Amino acid sequence: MTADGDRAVAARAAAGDAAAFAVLVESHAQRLHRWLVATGTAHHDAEDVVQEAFLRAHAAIARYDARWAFSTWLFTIAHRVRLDLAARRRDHAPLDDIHAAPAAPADALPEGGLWSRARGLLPADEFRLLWLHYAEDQAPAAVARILGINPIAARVRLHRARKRLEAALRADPSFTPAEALS
Amino acid sequence: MSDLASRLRAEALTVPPTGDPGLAGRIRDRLPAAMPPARPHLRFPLRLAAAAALIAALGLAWLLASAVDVDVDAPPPVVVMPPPPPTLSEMLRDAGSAVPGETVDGELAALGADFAAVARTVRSAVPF
Repeated sequence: MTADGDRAVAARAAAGDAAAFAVLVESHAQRLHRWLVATGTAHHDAEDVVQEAFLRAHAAIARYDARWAFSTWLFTIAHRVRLDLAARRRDHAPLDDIHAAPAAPADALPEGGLWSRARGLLPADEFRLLWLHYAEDQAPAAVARILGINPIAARVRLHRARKRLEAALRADPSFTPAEALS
Repeated sequence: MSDLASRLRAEALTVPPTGDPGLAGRIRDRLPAAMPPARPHLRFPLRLAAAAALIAALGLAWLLASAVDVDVDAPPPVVVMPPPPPTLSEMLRDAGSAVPGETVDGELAALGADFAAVARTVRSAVPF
């Protein structure tokens, strides 16, 4: 579904159309889950985050701002839910768990592909940004809104992530420039 | 570089879904049956707005039509004179009446009584 189509469906949902909201659930649940898992959230946590994000979106659908795509709004909510979950975990986790870096589930990204390599090369925040822009087709301003950062910072980090990925791929003999970069 | 971007976009399409197929159904099951109330739109009643504008226009027209030039005399100047300054005797009288002893003589008498009391105390304390 296109962003404009999403907006129209979300507008119907905001007007009280439950079927329209069900359409939004159907079209975005898997995408949201995939983003969460690809960026390091465990499968069962990702499901909780997705469900909670949709519950919050449902409760606040009347306040949906149609200037943004519905996916931007939903991903923003999901990102906050994930941060809330991480904060709760930090409050209750032993120190060793706090300092452990979250690992992406092994089966989230196809082995040997660009995304798998990017996940290994880039810091988590840059990978998250890269995914939102290229895999979810979110504009830099929308990415900034989702992650709660400055739009200029989003552009800078996006550029930095691309450069870092490009440099790493060029230096990787198993991944020839001809294959990855023209 | 644009090739890298297009490859990233293309490969993102090959990343399989990570949630199980029943995910959307479970979400729908958890959603409340009723949608939350829609935010009421701010609809200003057009007829009321038109009536208010008409009344305002008529009022303004009436004010403009009834406005005539009238020569009004300037009010007579009122000179407010300051009160005369108090005389010295008045100031002394006021000062005397301001102390707790009511009059200056009374204060002097009270002061003399205090001195006498002190003198008696000193005299009784001296053993010769």
